[in-house]
Amino acid sequence: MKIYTGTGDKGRTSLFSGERLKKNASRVSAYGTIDELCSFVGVVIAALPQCDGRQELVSTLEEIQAVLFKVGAILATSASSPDIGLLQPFAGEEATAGLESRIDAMEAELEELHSFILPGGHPAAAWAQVSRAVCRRAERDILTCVETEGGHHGEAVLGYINRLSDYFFVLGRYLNTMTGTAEKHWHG
Amino acid sequence: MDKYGQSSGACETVVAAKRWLSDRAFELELVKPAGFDFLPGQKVEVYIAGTTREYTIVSAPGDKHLSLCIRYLAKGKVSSRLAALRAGDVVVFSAPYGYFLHRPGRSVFVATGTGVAPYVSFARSGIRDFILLHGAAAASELYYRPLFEKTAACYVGCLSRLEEAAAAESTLYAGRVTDYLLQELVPGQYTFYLCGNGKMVAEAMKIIDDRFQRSRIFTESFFNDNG
Repeated sequence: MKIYTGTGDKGRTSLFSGERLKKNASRVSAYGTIDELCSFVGVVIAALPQCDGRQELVSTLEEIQAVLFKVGAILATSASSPDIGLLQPFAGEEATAGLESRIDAMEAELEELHSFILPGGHPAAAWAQVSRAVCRRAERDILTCVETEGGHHGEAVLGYINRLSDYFFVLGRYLNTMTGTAEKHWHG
Repeated sequence: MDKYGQSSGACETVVAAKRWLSDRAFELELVKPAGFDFLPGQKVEVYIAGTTREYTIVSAPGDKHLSLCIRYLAKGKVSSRLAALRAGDVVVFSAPYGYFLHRPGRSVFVATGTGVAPYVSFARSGIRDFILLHGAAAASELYYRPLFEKTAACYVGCLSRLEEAAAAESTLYAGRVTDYLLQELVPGQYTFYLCGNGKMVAEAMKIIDDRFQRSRIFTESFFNDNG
């Protein structure tokens, strides 16, 4: 199957709900950043060290990728479209609670933080911090989309995306700890 | 993943009948498994000959049988195996999936060849008041024409080979579906459904972007020619 169709060559794309939009529309930026984030999660998985609990981390990260696909589909549906009814309602509270329990479990293994840390260390930890930063941008893009185009669909995912960036921050620290990689603190 | 996007589980049933639509396509009628529920426009993945192929359901959800529209290629590993099936033979396939579903709005269905399949399920399910542009190389490949002539608000069979069109009835349009979109369809805001070869879908989208702004577009492309 060919991957190219040429239908987007003039800078337009189709939403899940059928509307044609310019590729720089805020809605397209929002789900585009989610796509970018999902890809970086793939990089984190690829860079994971052979440590205890690796398979559990892979499962969690793949679960996050699946949720991000759902988020992308929600954002690719225009605010007023009844097509949102074709998708399962986003179980934001449940997904967010799942992230929180994983954050708590990892934090229990970490030293308390008293200063900023410089992103880096083990490659997987460094990619986790990139994911955190992209996640923050996704949050800003979703907010812009919701503010300019309206729609409660976008609002429903904001809480999850906010917690997800916290998850990646803690994951980065956790991976450095698990691999014995020293954190570099920033003291200003 | 969600309501209709992902198939889960395999279904098994037997062939009830087979009906040739032309020498290049046939409808395979299967005994509908108990509890098999789908929406018009959805497809299944058939597992056969060590591989899989997607086929669109052409029956309506309320029909007794589950029918698939299959493009036949004599040298195609899968379609030739399916064409050889007889009543009572077992077929294994996925749960239904896909989002090429009918939405409210002024519908224009556009298809090439067996790309007309989802619209068959739409029409058999009671959907009316649509415009259908069906492109084919010959009048014999304007599949399900009697059904659409009864159910469409406007049925346009488009024959891409001019000599065939000239020899056929004057009610057919001499040109491709994209020619009709470009030259004949009254400008306006529609909900377009495009199903067929990727080249047609890409060309039609460009025309719609230029000529039918603020319309919605839903697409289902197929590129494989390996049957």
